[in-house]
Amino acid sequence: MTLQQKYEWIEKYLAGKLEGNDLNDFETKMQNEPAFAQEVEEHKFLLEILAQMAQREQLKAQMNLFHKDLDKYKAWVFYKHPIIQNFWKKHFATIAVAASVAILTAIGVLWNVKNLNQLKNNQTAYFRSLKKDIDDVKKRQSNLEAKTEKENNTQPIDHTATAFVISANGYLLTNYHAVKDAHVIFAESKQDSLQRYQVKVFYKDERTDLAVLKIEDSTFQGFKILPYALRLEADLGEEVFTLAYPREDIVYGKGEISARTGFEGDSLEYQISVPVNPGNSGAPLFDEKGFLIGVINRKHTLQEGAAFAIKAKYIKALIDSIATTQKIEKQIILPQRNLIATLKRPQQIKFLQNYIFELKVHKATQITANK
Amino acid sequence: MSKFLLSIKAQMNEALQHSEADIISALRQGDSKALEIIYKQHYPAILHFIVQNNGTDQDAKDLYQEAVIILYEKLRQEHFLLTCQIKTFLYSVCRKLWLKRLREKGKYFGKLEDFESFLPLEEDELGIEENEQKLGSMAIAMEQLGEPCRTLLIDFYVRGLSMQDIAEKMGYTNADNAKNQKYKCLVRLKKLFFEKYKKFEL
Repeated sequence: MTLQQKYEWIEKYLAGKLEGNDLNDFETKMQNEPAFAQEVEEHKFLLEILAQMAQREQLKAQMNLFHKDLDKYKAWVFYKHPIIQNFWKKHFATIAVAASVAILTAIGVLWNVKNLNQLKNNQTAYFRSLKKDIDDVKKRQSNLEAKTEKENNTQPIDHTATAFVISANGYLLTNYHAVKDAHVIFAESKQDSLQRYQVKVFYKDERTDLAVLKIEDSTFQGFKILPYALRLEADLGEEVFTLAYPREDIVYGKGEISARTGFEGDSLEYQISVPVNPGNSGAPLFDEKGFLIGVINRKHTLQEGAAFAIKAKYIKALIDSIATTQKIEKQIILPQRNLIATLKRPQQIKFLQNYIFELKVHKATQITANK
Repeated sequence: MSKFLLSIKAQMNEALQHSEADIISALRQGDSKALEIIYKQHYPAILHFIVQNNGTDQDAKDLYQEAVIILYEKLRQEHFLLTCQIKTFLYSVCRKLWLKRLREKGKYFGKLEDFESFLPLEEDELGIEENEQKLGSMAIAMEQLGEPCRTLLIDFYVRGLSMQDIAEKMGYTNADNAKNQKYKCLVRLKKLFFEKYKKFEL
């Protein structure tokens, strides 16, 4: 029996096509020869798999036909499409990080550009003097000029600053820059009682940015004894406070001495962490006990919370030099005794506030000349 | 009133069960209309499941067809008893197959989003893997067999062409010649297949 004949015989048996003696012979052979039985088993197995393959192929063809009707279920909405969804799911984290970096970069660039612009504007002047320009007042007043001049014979206020008494017989101290172009200056205090005096610049020193004003007013009858004294050196970290006129009313500000030197290492000044505003120029700086330790003159425009005050020892030096170089009728007598050292702050302020003045500075203008 | 509603509900349930039972018995007899109804009825749920779990339309189609084939083959076996709804069966099979495929691709992140209740199908209780091994071994053996044996055997055993048609198609002088050739091929296929399949069994 050839191999082909044997296989045909097996296939016939498996298909159930053997009959009679032939079937008997086959079954006897299977019983007697285990190898043959094994071969039949294997053949059966193989044909079963092939039949299964055939069935699957047919089923698939059928199902592919059915599937054509199901195309409407394809998710073709753009954001719902599996490719988009998978991409989004897979790369969501990356995209989020990239987006944040992009946003931060954009903000960073904008910030830098802004800073560069500021630098350009301020390359020569990092600080701003603290006199208060009254632009809108100027404008309003220019409308009223004719009237004002007729009634008062005064020029419009150019800016305001602060000054304080350093000698009870009628001398005030303020900043040089606050009064350098002044034509007419009024010193005003509206605390316990209204005091309004016309003052003249008595002495000004550009180097220390200090100016001494003299009250030249017929109504002035001298101050009471000054409650504070000078203290020439103050220590780092000391608590300090100031009283000034950044607006129409007196304003209290508190902070510490944050550096022994001032702007760009200027040894003339302290750096202080007192909130200051235009109008603070010329304001006195007191220590905790009410000793006068400096004069506020300017602040850092790029750095928040950094202001500067001229040290008290330069006030003394200035007054001393005036005494030796100028001939004056009324000597400047610096106060010698601090009377408020043991008081609490509100009481200290009550004593101090009457010695601090708002300066209203008028410049010489062409308009008056025309009139 | 509530009695009436209950009776309606019972009737509806019965109708549903009845129709599913009808479909199953039709499928058992290889009815292609029943196959079509089932195929179209349950695809959307599977598409949704696959797409929500990192798959594409094509993945859903492949998997779903595989699951339907498994259902069909199971129902054709007389001793097989379907113990759940058709939908649950298909969903469970697709879920298992998809889990396996995700693991193979290394895209499995430990959690699938589920939308239906499903059978856990652990321990290959449906013989899915065994089947895959058989058919996989056969596909490989067929590849290794090469032409013209492969086409000859597939035409005869899988596509069911007659020896006469095959002889004409493949250019043999007569059917006997083709038959002779076919048996030679079958011997080789047998050898190749059992080499592969036994290796899998180990």
